Amino acid sequence: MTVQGNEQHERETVKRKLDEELNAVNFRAHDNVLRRTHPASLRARLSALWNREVEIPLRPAGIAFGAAALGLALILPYAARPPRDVQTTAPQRQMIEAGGSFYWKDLYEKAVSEHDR
Amino acid sequence: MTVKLKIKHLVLYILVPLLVLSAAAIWAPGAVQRYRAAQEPEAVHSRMLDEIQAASGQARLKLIGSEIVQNGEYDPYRFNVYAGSSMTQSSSEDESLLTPQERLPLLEQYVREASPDSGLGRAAEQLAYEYDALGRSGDADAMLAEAERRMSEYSYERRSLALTRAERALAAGDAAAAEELLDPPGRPHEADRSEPELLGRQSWVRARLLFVRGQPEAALAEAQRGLKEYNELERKAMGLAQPEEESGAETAESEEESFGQRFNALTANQLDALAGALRTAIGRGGDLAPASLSGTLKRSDGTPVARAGIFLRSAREVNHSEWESEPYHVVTDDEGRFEIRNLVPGAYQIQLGFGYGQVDGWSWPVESDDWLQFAGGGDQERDITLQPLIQLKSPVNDQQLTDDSIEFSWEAVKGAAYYTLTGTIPSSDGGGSSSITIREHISGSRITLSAEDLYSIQNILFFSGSGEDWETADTSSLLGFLNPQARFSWSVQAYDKTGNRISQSNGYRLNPGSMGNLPFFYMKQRQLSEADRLVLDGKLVKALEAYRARVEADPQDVEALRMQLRLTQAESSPSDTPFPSRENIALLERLMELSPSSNTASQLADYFYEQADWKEYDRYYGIYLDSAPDDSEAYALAKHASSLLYRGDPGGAHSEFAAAMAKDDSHRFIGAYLLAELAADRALASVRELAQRYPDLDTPTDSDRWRRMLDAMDKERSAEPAAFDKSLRKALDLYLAARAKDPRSGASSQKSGFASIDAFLLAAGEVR
Repeated sequence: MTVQGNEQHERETVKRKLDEELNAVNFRAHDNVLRRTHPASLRARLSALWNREVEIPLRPAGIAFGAAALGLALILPYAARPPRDVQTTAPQRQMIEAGGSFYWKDLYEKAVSEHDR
Repeated sequence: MTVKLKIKHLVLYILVPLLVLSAAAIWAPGAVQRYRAAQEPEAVHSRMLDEIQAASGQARLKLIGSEIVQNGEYDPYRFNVYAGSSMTQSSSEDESLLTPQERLPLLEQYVREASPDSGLGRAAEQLAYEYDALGRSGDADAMLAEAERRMSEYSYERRSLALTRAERALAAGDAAAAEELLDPPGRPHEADRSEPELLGRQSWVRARLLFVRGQPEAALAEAQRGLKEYNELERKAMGLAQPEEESGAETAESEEESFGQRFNALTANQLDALAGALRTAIGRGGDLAPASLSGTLKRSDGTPVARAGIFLRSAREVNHSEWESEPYHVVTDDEGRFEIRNLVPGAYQIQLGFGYGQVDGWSWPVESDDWLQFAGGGDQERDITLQPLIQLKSPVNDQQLTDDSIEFSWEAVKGAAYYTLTGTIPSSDGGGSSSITIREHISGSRITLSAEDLYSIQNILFFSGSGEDWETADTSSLLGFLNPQARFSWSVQAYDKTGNRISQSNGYRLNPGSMGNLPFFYMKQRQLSEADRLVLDGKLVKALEAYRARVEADPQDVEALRMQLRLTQAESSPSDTPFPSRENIALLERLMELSPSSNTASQLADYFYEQADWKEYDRYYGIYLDSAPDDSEAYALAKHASSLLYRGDPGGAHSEFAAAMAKDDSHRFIGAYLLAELAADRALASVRELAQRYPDLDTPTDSDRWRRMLDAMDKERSAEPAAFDKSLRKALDLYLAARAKDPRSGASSQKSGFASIDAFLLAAGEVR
């Protein structure tokens, strides 16, 4: 009896001691463990992201910012590369008479505008 | 407030559309530019060449056919710019896409391989033109013969090509070959009646052939017959009634002419022109052997101008705008040479055809009314030299002039003895302009003028309305250089010491290099006065009152005096009120004292001429001559000659008229000259010889009328010479006596007894 009784007593002591020592430790990584042991598919994750719900605050400042961003997105390409003057690329050039001489209209107007400056 | 939405909705409904929009915004301008670039001539040109090069066999021939052969831009004798002394016109088309060098091998292949009934004749004529322009007319003839052989017999195209060959043979001086081509054996004449165009051309070649063979009368008859036949067939084809025969030969003839011109039929015009030239030449008499013209067309640096058109146009055609019907046209070869044969003797003007590239920066300085007189059998040589446009130095490029002294300067021209400076005043609506000579005989390449010099230049007055209301006078032309708001321009012309124009500043300036300085300037030396503002506002009556008030307040106010005169002139212009009126003479005389100018002097001279006040006339004519020493106009000379004649100085009249003839190639005063010679008792035959030497080209459709009138006089005289001479002397004395009192008086109502004398005096009295 004594050997058995001693073993049992010892086990309970260790258990109690262990419980006491681990009392401050909490296991909360169940999810991590689950993810490690049963990884979710990429598809499932994407689907989760896809269906995630966001909240957008609709305040005047927000609306203004959005509109400005939209406008910029549309205008920027033009601002960066404005379409060239139609005259110089028109297939039919126009000839004009000015001061008794004949000029191509586009070249003449360019020269006149240069002298105006 | 917040909006809840899932990521997927955010992406699908907002981000994706935004992305698409910005992508489009980035792509669109680039695409538009690429599209435009693809439409530019260079791109179209290389695409067309690539397409043709890539194709082969029938597809290739088809492409050449549609892009080149059927393309009107490549028609022979089609030019961008036509230049001549009577007119310069420019077609608005662009320069052709394919160069002659690119077209040549393609046309050669087409003529060699295309099926005969797909515009082969057209292609062959284009190719012949290209060969001619390269100086390979022999190749052209051989190619045309080969092309004709390939065509199906009796086809319209083949007959047409044969006629082209006949014309070429005739032009090359091979009459025998031309005759053979004209009437090929085995071709029934009757079948042609469905083809008036061919018949007409045939008649034209046949008439020219007859003329070359020394049978001008037969040639004229053939041309008239051909024209009549052509018009009949055309009328029938259009379902029109034939003209009535009874209407008389004269009206029938004019009817024929108008019919041809109405439908702008090339062949009819050609026949008509030939018949007209022959009629005139035969009427004139003398040697009627064919004349010829040859020469070279070069630039002043010696480079030949190849591929330019040379046209010879008679007085009848010189103002027409149609060019293909010209009987005399050639293209210069690779060395710039040209030769035109088989000319009907008479007066012609040379006109040139250029591509833009050929004429850009260059000018052909030619005087207006530059007539070439061809005597029977005469061979003339004429080398034509293109000159670079004179570059202007100052004032240019819209410079605003504020100094009282203005220096006009330009690049000196080699060989120039003197220059003429011309100003251009824009009309107030900006639509037109008028040019006015500022100074002539300027010896250097610069001249300094005062603002006053320009202010004193009186512009030609023009009216914007019907001309009945003087207040429609163009306000800008009234103020002239006094207008500080107007954009004026100027130009110079250079002359050699014999008085031939050798260069000019006006012309085609089509690239940045040739454009040079723009000839514009503003006269900002003065401000608009109140009266000037009224003029610009079109309130001319009020403006005239204002200037009048200023002149009354200050008789020395030259500016107001000048404007008062200009406005009173405008006031009298639309009506018959003579100008200057008597009250204006005082103003003109005061202006002459305050600011003498040749213009004012000539106006005063004109006035006293019409008053037959010879003392005052001589005084102002003298001042006019002093202010324009070397270059008095033919008009003034002829008028002075007439005044001498009326004052009983036929010798003085003779030398003045001779000088006027030399100055004016149109000989518009020849009638007055002939009258002076008759008054000086010159023999009718020698007066007739003068009329023949100086045809009245101011009336181009009837330049021969004076000679005809003298012929009629000669005819009437031959019956009773003594009575005729007596009547002529008497009629002349009456005429001169009336004119000595009133130089504007009409013909006397008293008949001389000889119709030819009355007709002559009536016509001479109308010479102005």
